[in-house]
Amino acid sequence: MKFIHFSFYCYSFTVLLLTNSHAQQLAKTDIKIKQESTELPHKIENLPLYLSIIEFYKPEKEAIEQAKQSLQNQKKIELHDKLTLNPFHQRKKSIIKEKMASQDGTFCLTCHLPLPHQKNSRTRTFNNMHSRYIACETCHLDKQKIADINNLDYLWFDYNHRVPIKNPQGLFKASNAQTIKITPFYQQQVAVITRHHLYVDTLNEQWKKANLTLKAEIKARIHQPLKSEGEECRQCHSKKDNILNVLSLGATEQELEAHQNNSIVSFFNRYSINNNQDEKMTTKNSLSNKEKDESIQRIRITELLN
Amino acid sequence: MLYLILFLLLTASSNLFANERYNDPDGCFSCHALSGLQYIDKQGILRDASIEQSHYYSSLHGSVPCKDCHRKIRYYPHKEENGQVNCADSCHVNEPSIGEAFSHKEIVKEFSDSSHGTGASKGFTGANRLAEDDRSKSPSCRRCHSNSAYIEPFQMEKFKEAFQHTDTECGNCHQGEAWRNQLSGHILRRFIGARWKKSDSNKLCNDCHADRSEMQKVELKNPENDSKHPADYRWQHASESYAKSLHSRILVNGDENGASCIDCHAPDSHTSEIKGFRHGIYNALDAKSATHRENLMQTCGQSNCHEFSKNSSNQGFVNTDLHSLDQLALSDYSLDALIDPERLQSNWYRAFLILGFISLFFILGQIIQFIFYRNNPGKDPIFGSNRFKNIMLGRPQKKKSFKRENAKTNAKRNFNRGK
Repeated sequence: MKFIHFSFYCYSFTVLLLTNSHAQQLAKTDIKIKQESTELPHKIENLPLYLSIIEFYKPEKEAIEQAKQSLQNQKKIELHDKLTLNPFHQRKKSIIKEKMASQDGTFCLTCHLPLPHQKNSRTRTFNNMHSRYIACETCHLDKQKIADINNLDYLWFDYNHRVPIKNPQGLFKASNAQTIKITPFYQQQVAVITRHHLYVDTLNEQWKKANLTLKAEIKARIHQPLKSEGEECRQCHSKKDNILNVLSLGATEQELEAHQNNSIVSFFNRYSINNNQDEKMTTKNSLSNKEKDESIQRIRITELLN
Repeated sequence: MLYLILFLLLTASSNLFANERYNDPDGCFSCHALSGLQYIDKQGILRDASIEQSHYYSSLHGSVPCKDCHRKIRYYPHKEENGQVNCADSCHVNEPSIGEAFSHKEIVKEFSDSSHGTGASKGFTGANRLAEDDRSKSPSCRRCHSNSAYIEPFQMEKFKEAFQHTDTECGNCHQGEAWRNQLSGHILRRFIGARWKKSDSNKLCNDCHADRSEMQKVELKNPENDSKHPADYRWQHASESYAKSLHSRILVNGDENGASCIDCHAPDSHTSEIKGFRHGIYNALDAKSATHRENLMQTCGQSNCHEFSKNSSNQGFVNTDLHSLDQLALSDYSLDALIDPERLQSNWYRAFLILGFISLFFILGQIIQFIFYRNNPGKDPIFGSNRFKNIMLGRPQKKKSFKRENAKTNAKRNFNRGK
C-alpha cells in the first residue's frame, strides 16, 4: 500500500514539474490519475480538455523516439519576407512577421509558423487558408482519445480577448479577423489552451533548459492529444455528418448552401490521393511510371469546371 | 418565320460579340480568387497563390487568359516548371487593327541585346524570385515591370471623360458595341497620354543604380574586347551625378520637359538598327549606344530637345559632361577613397588633395613649434608675424628679452675683464 502511495506521489511530482500551477489545482481536487489505463479520459475539473489528455496519457516510447528523430532532422528555415523583387501579380499585403510576433493565437503557434502547412503541395495552401479562421485543434484533435466525443462543440473563440463569442452573426463572412477562430469546446468550456496560459510559460522555460531527450519527451507529450493528419474536407463541407453546426456559427442560409456545395471540395473529394480506386485504375491501365505518377497525384484542372 | 428571325438575331449578335474576350476560360480563379492561399516554401519565401481578381481584370494583362503565360499547367497540384513564364511568348490577345497575335518578342529581343541583356526574360516562377533578388546583377523583366493597372489611377478621371465621347464624337462613324469593346479602350488609353511619367521610369533605374553598395559589386563588359572590369567610380555614382543635373531637376519639379535616364540612354530611335522600344541601353563605348560619341549629336538633338546639336558647327555642345564628378559632394574621407586615382576626374578631389597637402604642412609646423619651441618666447610661430603685429595691428615693438640683454652685457664685461 505504501508503495502505491509512493508511486502516486512520484508521479504527481512529475506532473507538478510539467504543469506548475495547474498541478496545484490537481492536488487540491485530489483526482486519481490513471496510468497506463485503457479507458478514455473525461475532462479533469478546471482543466481544459487538451491539458486533461496530456495529464492522462503518458507518451509511448515509439512516439518519443519519433519526436527525437524529427527534432534531430529539423531544419531551420530562414524567412525571406523582404525580397526587393516584387511579385508580378498584385496580392493583398501579407502580415506574416506581425502574425509571428503576435501573442494571440493557439498554443501551437508557440513553435509552429502561422502558415504551418508546407509539405503537401496538394493541400498546403488550402489548409493554410483555413488556419486563418480555424484553430489547429479543430482539425488535429485526435478524437479517439476523448471519451465523450458528442460533447465536443465547435464555436468561435476570440484569441485576442480569450473569450468565446456569444453573438456570432456576420462572423462567417468576415472571416479575415484572424484572431477569432472556430475552436473545439468541451462541456461548454474551451478545450484548448492559448499562448497566454500559465502552462505555456512553464513549458517554455523547461524547453530552454532541456537536452534532446527531454525535448523529445516534451514534444511527444504535448502532441499526444493531436494527430498529424487533419480532417478531410467533407467532415465540415457536407450535408451529412457535418461536425460543424454552420448555422450556429453565424452563417446565413445562403452561406450554408455555398459552404456545403463547394466546388473545390467536391473536386478534392473526387480526386483523393488516398483513394484506392485511383491506384487500381492506373495499375490496370499499365501506364509508365512517369505517367502513373501524374495520374495519381496530378489532376486535370479543367475537371474542376465540370 | 419566327425561327428565321431568331436565327438571324442570334447570328447577328454572335458576330457582334465575336471579339469579346473571356478572361478566365480555364477556371483558374475558381481557386486563385480565394484569399489567403499562402505557404512558406523550402527557401523560406512566402508564396501567395491568391490573386486579387478585380485588380487582375483591370490590369494590363486583364484580358489575357492565365494559360497564355503559364502555358504548361494542366494538372493539379501544379508542377513548378509547368508554370514558367516566357515574356516573349505570344498570347491570344489580338492587336485590334490587323488582328496579329500580341507579343513582347521585339522588346525582349532589344532587351536581350542590351547591356542588361543577361537578365532573365523567361523561366519566371514564384520560386526563383530569390535567385533574382540581387540588384548588382542585370535586371530581369519583372524587376521593373509588374502587372499594373491598365489605366493608371492618376489617369482615370481623364480616361472617364474621354470615354464619354465614344458614343458621340467617335460614334458618328464607328458605330456598334463591337467596335467600342474592341478598340475604344485601346485607342483612348493612348489618347490620354503616356502611362509612364519620366520620374516614374527614373525611379526604376534608381531602384538599383542609386544603391551604391550594390553598384560597387558590378562588373562591366568592355564592348571593344569583351573583357570584364569592375565598375569605376564615375559609373557607380551615375545616379547621383544625374540627380544634380538640370535634366533631372526639371523633372523633380513635375515638369516633363526634363530628360529621364532612358531619354538619353534608350531613346525611341537613334540608329537604323535600333527600333526603339526603350530597352536598348548600351555601354557608351558601344557603337550602338545612343550615348556613343558618334551618336550623341543625334541623341541630344531629339525633337523638342537640343535640335541645334545636330548641326556640325555646334559639335562642341555634345562635350558637356552630364555625369560630371564635379557635381558630387566630397563625402568619403577614408584613405582608400582619397588615394583612388579614379576620383581625380573630380575637381573637388584635385583641390582637396592640393589644399590638403598645404594644410598638412601648416598643421605639422604648428605641432613641431608647440613641441620644441613652446618655452622659447622669442620665436613667433608664424613667419613675419612680428612685422604684422607692429605695422598692421600697431602694437609696440617687443623689447629684446632681459635674458638675452644680460647675456650680452655679461659677455662684454667678461671680454673687457679679459682685456
